Amino acid sequence: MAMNTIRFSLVFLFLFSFTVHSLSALERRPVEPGKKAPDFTLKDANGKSHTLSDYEGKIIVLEWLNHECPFVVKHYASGNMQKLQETFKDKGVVWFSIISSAPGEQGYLTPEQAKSVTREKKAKPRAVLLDPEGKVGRAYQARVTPHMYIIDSSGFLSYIGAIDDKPSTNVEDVETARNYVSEALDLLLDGRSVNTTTTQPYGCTVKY
Amino acid sequence: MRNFSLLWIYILFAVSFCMPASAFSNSFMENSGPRYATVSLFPETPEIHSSDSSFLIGVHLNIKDGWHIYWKNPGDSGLATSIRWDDHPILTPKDILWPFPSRFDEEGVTTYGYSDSVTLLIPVEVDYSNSSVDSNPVLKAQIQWLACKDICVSESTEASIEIGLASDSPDYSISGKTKISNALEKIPASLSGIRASAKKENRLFKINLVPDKDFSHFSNKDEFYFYSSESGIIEHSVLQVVHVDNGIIDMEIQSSRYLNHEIRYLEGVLVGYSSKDDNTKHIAITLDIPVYND
Repeated sequence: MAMNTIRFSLVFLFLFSFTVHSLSALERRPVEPGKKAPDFTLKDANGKSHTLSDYEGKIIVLEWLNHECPFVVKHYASGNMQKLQETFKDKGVVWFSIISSAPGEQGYLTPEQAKSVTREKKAKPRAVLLDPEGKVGRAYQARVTPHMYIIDSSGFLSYIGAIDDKPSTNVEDVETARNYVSEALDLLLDGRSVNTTTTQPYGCTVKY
Repeated sequence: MRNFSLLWIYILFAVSFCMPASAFSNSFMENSGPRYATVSLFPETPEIHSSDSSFLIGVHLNIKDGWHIYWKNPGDSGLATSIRWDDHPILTPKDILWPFPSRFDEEGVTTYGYSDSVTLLIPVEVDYSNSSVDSNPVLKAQIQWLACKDICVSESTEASIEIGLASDSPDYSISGKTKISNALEKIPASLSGIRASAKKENRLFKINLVPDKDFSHFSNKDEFYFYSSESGIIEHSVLQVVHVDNGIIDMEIQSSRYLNHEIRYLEGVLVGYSSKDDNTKHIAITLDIPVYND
């Protein structure tokens, strides 16, 4: 009996440490352009599950989102983010907004709140994905909001970084900014490779 | 009728008394201006004369406890504090002289900035040739900053300063002069007696700083940190490996994952702290290090 308990404990400890090691390895693995995008499954604000690999064959945008961050406010108040979402949705791009704020932290939204804010902002992503434990945010090493990731139709990361080259909270800067996301998406949709594959993202820290 | 009026007064009083505090605080927030930093401007001298070619203005920000604002390179997130001056016929404010920053670490994200208070110094050029002046000139500025704690709030304010012409400046005060002197001590020094070079090997900058014989500020008891002036050049959150031997510093700093072009110079500020515990600055110098790429 005692022997069985010891055996069970050892197996449990081994499996536990293996799981912890695998998870931390996933978080440590560099997420870079040219590498396969880490797969994940998250529920959206309507409770529907989305698995990234199910969308292979499509160009995908991941936008890290916190509606209370002044940098995000700039892109939604100007209508810039909604315009990008709508323009590229019409061209077959799948756009996911991901909220990795932990409960109690700035930007956290319950599913109902996420639905309501999305309606209020007239946002047009395919879905707002909820990541309150921050697992997907950490796996992608998302640091700020907005932090933008573009995945090509084969599932490889094509662009990681800022939405544009004007790191500010001023709405009027949107007009004159060079938009890295639309630039990269246009190239991918044209069957060409992305020139600027990575830029320093700007924004508020993700509130894990 | 009288009872009816009294009833209304009672209802109004009761409703206003029971109103949620947030209703009041929201309207207060909208009208109260910046909440996380206050700004004051003061000149370096009590007056300027026609022979003066430049002077300093201090832009002092008092920052709310626990909050911070940002240096010219905010690091992994945040936003540099900015000042936009209105045009003036004889006074031309130049670029900000930035005191050396502090480091803030949060969940693998490192940012550079200031807590408690900071005085940004602005050199102002004086040129009487463009215009004659018969009253004290007034400089107006729009100051914008991002204040962060567990959340970030973008704030801005307008401020102005009146400069005295050969008579005491209305905005001059002894305490302002002290703040400017204190701020000058925090401006990194430009030293010529250091031979600096860097080599980029894969994702590492290997920096070598060799001071002149009579330079004795690099002590192996100190801790050093290199603040890059630009974002996207170094990994701010990765440990910088520093060896100090016989006054010579060797540093290894990981380049940014976002750096996808060759750089010719690594610009920044090297700060030496006299001990890890009290975090006292021992030395702060600006460096413009030529980089040899492998």
